[in-house]
Amino acid sequence: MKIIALYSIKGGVGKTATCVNLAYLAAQKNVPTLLCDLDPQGSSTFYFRIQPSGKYNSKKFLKGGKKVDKAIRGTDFEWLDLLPADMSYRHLDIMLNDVSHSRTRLRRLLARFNGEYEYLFLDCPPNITLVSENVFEAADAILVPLIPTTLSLLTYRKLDQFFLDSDLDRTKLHPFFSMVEHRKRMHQDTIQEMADENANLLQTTIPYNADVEKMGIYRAPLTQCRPNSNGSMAFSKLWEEVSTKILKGHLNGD
Amino acid sequence: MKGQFYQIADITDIDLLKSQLSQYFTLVDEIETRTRFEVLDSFDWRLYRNGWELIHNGHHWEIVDLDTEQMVGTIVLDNDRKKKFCWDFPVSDFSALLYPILEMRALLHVVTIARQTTRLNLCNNDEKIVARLEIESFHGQGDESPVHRCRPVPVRGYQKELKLLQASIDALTFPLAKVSPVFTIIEINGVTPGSYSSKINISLAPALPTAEAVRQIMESLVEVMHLNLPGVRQDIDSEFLHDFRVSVRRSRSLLGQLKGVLDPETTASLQAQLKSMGAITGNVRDLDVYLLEESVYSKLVPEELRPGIVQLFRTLKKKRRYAKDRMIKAMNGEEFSSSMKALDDYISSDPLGASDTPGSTQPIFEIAKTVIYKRYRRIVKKGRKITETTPDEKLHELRIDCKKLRYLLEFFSSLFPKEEMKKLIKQLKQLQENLGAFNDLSVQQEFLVDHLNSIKPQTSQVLLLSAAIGALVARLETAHQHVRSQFLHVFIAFNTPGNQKRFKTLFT
Repeated sequence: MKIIALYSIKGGVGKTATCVNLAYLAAQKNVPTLLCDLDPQGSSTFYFRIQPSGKYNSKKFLKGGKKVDKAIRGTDFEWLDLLPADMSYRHLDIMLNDVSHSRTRLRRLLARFNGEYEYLFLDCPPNITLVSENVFEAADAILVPLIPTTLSLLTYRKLDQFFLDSDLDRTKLHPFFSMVEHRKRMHQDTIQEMADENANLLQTTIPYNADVEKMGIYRAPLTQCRPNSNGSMAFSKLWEEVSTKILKGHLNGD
Repeated sequence: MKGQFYQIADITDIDLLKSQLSQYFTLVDEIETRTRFEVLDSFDWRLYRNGWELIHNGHHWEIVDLDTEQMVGTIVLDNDRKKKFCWDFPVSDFSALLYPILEMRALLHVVTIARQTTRLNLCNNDEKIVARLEIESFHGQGDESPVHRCRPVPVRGYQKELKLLQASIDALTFPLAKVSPVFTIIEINGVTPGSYSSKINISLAPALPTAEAVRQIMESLVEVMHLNLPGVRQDIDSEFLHDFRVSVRRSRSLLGQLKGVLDPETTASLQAQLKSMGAITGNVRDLDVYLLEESVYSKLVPEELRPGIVQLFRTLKKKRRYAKDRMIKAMNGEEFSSSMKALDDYISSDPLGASDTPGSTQPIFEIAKTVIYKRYRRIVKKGRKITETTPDEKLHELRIDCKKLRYLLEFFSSLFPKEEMKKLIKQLKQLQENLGAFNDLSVQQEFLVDHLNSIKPQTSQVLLLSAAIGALVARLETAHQHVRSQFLHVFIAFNTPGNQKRFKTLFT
């Protein structure tokens, strides 16, 4: 099983859109895939038209086991299941503080899906918190969407520094540019600058695309309802790059 | 886990189900898919008997388990050329699955099926799919009515909705679909899957007059001959001729062993017909036996001599072509058709009216016991006399006796307890295998030496051929001696006090 996290310190950078589309594309190859919506806003959950069960909350999530299994819902697409987010997830940080192994809790929790799913996608809440640290520990690859601005680069450097300071595996970090407007000179320059300084940068960029924003209206992955749009093509290319270059060699290995 | 399939007698029943379901769900039809495929099997239904179905669709070949409908194996070829034998497929996991089941038998067309699959999506108020109903329709080529079935497909985490779907299906009391729809269609077409078998399966009443019992057994043997003749004429695979000849041999053996109880004139005439049928077909079968051994022979000689084996088989194939042409010509002749007619006339006659020998009216149960026990005693007597120095001919004689006993046990097995007969046949089989291998090895050596004597070693190619044959004969001789040395052990295993007692209780 490979765990792929979509993470960003900032919000509104295309994190959920990427997570939903990559998970959909992974499942399209008839590979059992689970998307864990960890963001209390529950945007991924919403995109798949799923209503979380009233009985499920962060407490049950942290307890793990059968309670989590029961909360999983099949999406409209074969091979793709979803663990819905609940508003109570906003307290996950505080709750994690009170449990043992507070940094590796998530990794232990997700281990039960080994064998059941081939890919596990994590749609993470923004900010650097104890939840994020759990994600950093658990994930095999952390995909970080960046809008090509100076501020974004600064934030990314901070994240990188945090990994260094916390003795985390920096090679897991894979930034990529999202909401790119190729007409904008500043976007081009920023992408170039990042490419020069970071070898882990993914080649694929996701263009700014009105269709992506409309996903909230379709309530379905863009790659499913508009497979030929620019945005969909970019997501497909991104998944191709991630699955063949980053996850290759990992697969079947564990 | 997908649910079980339910039979739908009429496609309009689906509309009933839909109207039920529309009380709880928004129903959305997904695009239907249509596929067309051919089902193949051997003449004796080897794949079907193994619980498999072989499906062919263009470049795609698939083996499906009939019970679970799970795919057992698949292969995608780069052409859609006809595949007749398992060796026509490229060496692969797929061909490895077919080899032990199909062996030398040809694949024949069984039926072509058009399958239409529709998925009905059951959605909640969020337009989220919460369950599915899969509906499949199977059409044969003819104008027979199609076969429909449906099954619930759950979506994880929506148990309540699945229960609603299941309840709606239950309310319409659709029966569970147990048989593969493909085979339902085959049966609609008037073919019973698995119906042909070369094994003897005759049920006789113990009190039946012997003449009538013999007629009934003959009837079933002649039927097998008729069933195989078209395949023999078209030369589809080697086993049509083999099964045909086995039936001829069984018939001869039956008539020969019950000589005293039947009308001697009829017996003699039928025996003569059967003998000539055996003679006409013998040559091709002999060559078939060698041709089936090609890969075995090739492995028996060192690598340098293998081109010689290739040459040998090239010659044998040519010989077989001529032999087959001669055989077909003979089969189209007057004599063969009058032989078949004589058999047909006999099985549709009233055997009791035509015979006045005292044995003909005796109950078959008594006669069967006598002939079986007599044959068994003879085998034991002959077998006991065999030592390490006994000439080979004695073993060959014993082989013939064992074969005769085997046929008797098979003809009359319905008259005796099933389990006991199974045990007897199993033990006899082991003895027969030893004797059979011994005989085959003798015959093969003889044949090869004859062949060797017929060639003049003038070219280097022929020298290679001769050397290959020499190596082969040497290997066969080693095997021959080994089999012979095993005989005494095998016979002791057959001639146990337990087995003796079993024969005695059953047949005296």
